[in-house]
Amino acid sequence: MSALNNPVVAVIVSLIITVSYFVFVDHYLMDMQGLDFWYLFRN
Amino acid sequence: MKALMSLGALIGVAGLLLLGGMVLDVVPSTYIRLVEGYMPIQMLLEVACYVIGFTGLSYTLNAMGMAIPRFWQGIGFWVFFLLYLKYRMYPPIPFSVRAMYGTVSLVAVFMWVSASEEDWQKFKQPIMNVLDAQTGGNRLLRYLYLVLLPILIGGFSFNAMMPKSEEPIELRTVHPAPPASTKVHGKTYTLQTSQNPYRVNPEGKFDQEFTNANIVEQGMGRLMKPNANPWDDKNQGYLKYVREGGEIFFQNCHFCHGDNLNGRGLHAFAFNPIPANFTDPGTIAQLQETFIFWRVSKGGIGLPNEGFPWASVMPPWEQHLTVDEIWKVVLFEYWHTGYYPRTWD
Amino acid sequence: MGLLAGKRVFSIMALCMMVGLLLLPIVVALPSLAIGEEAPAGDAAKKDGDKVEKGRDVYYKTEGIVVGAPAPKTVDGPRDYPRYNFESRVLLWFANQQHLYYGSFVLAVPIFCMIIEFMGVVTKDKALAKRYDQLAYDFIKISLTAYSLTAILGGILIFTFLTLYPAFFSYLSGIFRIFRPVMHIYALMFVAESGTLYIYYYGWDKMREGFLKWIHLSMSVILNIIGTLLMFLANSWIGFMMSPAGVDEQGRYLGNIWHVIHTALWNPLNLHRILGNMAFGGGVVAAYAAYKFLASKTDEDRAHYDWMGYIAMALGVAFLIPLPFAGYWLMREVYAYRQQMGITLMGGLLAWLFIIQATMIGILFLSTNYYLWQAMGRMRGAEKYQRYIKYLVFILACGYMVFITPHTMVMTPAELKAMGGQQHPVLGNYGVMSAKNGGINVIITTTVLSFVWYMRGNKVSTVSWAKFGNIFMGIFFACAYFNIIFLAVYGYYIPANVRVGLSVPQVATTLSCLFFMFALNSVMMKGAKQMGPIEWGKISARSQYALIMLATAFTWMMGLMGYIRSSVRLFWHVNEIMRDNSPWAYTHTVGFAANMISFNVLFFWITILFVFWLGSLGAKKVPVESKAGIPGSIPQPVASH
Repeated sequence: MSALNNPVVAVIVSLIITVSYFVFVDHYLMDMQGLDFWYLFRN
Repeated sequence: MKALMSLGALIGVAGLLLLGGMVLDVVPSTYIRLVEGYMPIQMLLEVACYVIGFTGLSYTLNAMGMAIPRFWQGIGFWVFFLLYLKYRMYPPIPFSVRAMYGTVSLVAVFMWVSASEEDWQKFKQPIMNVLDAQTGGNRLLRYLYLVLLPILIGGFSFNAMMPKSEEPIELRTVHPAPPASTKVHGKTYTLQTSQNPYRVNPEGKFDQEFTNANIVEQGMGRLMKPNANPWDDKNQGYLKYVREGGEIFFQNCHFCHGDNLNGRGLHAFAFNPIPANFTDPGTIAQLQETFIFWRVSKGGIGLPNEGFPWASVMPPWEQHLTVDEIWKVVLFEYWHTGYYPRTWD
Repeated sequence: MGLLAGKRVFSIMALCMMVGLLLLPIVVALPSLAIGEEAPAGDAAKKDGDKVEKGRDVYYKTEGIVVGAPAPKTVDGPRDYPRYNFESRVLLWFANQQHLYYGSFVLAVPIFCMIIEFMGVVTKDKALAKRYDQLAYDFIKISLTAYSLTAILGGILIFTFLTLYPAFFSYLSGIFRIFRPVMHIYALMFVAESGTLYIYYYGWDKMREGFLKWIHLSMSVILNIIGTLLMFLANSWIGFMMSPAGVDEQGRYLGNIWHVIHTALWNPLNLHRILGNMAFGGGVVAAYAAYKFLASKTDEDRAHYDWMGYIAMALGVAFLIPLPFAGYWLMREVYAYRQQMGITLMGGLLAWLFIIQATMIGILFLSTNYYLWQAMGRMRGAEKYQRYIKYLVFILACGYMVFITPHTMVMTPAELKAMGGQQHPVLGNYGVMSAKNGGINVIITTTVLSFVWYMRGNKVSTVSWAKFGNIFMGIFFACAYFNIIFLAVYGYYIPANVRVGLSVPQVATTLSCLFFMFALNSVMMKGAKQMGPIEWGKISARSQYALIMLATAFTWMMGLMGYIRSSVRLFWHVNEIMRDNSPWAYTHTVGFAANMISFNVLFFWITILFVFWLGSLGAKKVPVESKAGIPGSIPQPVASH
């Protein structure tokens, strides 16, 4: 826990968690509707 | 912190100078371009930059002991935003929208200055002073208001009563609800289910995915995909139909809708309202292909009751074109603008 | 002891009676249901002769035996449309709207009562429990007068229908009454509702303690079930008018009452109306509290009404947040039912009203935020957040401006020429759905952020990972904003059918903020160090005006949305079945509609002020002792709501 209270570590860990969470949300919720979230990047 | 705030202040001063230049017409509004494709977000970012700049400026002035009173900060920000909308944004924004934004920003300024009790007191003080302080300056202001306010209100009344030669504003219903079906050249098309017969893949089947992959690039510059040039004679199928649609477009439509499909053809400005701009994300990009088919074949004269005030000089093209030609033109319009027809589901 | 046991028996009997009342309509309906079962089996009758005519359901596409007469073809004249020298439609509009305002108010308030009474029962803090109980009692007291007004207005509404639209009303009641007793069930339910409400209200003091309290609480549950069912039945009529089912193309009833009730839009309407009523009820009660706060003379009163306003506002907003999603579902169903209807609503004739609606929604959220910021003034320690409010204001204002930008702008021809087109190249992009979704989600996320700040205003977390928690929260919100805006911008670069799907992850982002951040915050604030108590009553008068603003915006929006929903039928009484042939089958101008809505809102607020005043008349007679129950020190509500 003490390592997490180091601001730099905390920022990095939070960034990893939140970014991956939102990417997950974007991807799967589009996937559930049968749509492709990465449409633009694939073309 | 201090360095950061000084940088902010620098941004603020530079921004203010730039805007001042635009207001006084020393610097043209187009000096900093609105980049096509990013304009809406650019505008928000610019305003955000200004806010950061003002924060820095206020901090720095505070540190230098020349703090601007809350009252003038509030008023100043509001005036800034109005000027920004009027002089920075091009083409000019209609008054109705500026009034809306002005009201919202006024409310926002009010919310800001009254968010905490302390701020609210600071903001109120000058107003209270003018109302009841006994100093010479405030008294003078009171008398001034006594004279100016009636004149101002009189001016408003005068303006409101003065006969104007401008046409009244009309709320247009730009995309009226289409009928369930439409009859063109003796055949009935159900709008919800009909398909463009030329939107086909090499096997000749209706295929939106395939055709979407061959339209021009949406974003910067609207470039053709390298292997999807309709004017290459070797191309068959979809691209050939696009070419044929293009020929029909340039023989019939481009005089009004423009050679760039942006509603600014040769004759466009003879009409009021000017013809539809297909490159706008709110026109064909929002509609089903069959909607366009219906509009093209029936024209302005075939607008339904709902399409108030029926202000359209679009000819009913079914009298000049065959059904096939109309479908091809529609195909071309989507190809050229890089939009996909809307589909439900 | 014997007395107590007797009380128990009595209360259980009362509860049973209510359940009985609830079941009564169903029992009455059973015979008719049984006939309904037989109807399809009536094929046997077909063999006898060809007299039995068959029809096809316009929506369910099932075959059925024609039972009713076709929808009448009305003609303009005193027979079908008797009238005064006035537009009948406007009279009906007025009667309908007032009935709906009161109806939704008296449906919503008992639900609040139930929630608050339950909170009172489960709270361990005795003083606080008492306070909750008192609050629930206050709520129901207000709704009692409103309840009789609702009934009176309902009567007025029916008379208006009978006298001004006899042909239409007899067709509707023909469907509903002659063949299946929906209207009678409705009336019986109303009786059941009244009975339950009165027992619930007058039994309050008698059933204060222990087991009896639980009985009392279950009564409120029954009361609300009856109320909700009542509303569902009423919704089936408007659902039928918008998206008829259970009849053939000529409007002849086909013998299946469930089809008539369960039309395409019934369930979306039900959900949307429940949530809307709750939000509206919260708004009205909050306005009541604000009015009492502003009028109160003692600190104690101010504290009480401040607290009441806060709770009502929190409940109202809790139901406001899911409301747009329910509306989205309703819209989807409308599009699925008739695409034309959807386009008339969102892109065509009524699109301007949706711009006004967007403005009102924005006002709702703005005033909620403003109230929360003001509410931080009653806590010590909240100053550390107040400094940053200006940035929230900026984000809110940006989101709001994007949200209300019309796609087709109102402009003079000269401005049109100067702009060179109907659409502005910069602002026109704000007018499409992609940007608007971004705008509203930014607004809601900011509201969530304000709530989080408010909840931790006077506290400092003491958990060992507090620092990480704060950083995580900050980053989560930042990423959420980024994701919402990114999705909004991304929408411009992908085709429409993919774009519409983007609203789902966008909404999910907002809801993630709501749920995760509230949960995280309450975990972090468990056993947190308090900088000082919440000083109820120490709030600026401005905040109370914000509450009144909130309530007015709710009322106005309800009137507006009701008007939109009703006028989307255009010139039909019953969509595509029964045509409106009165001279008023046109759509009103936006200006006229807005004035009419404002008039309705004004009328409602004047009458409800009268209701409040009546409530205060009664309160003056209450001896001081009832107040003695409340301890002088004002307890704090539980941290988590």
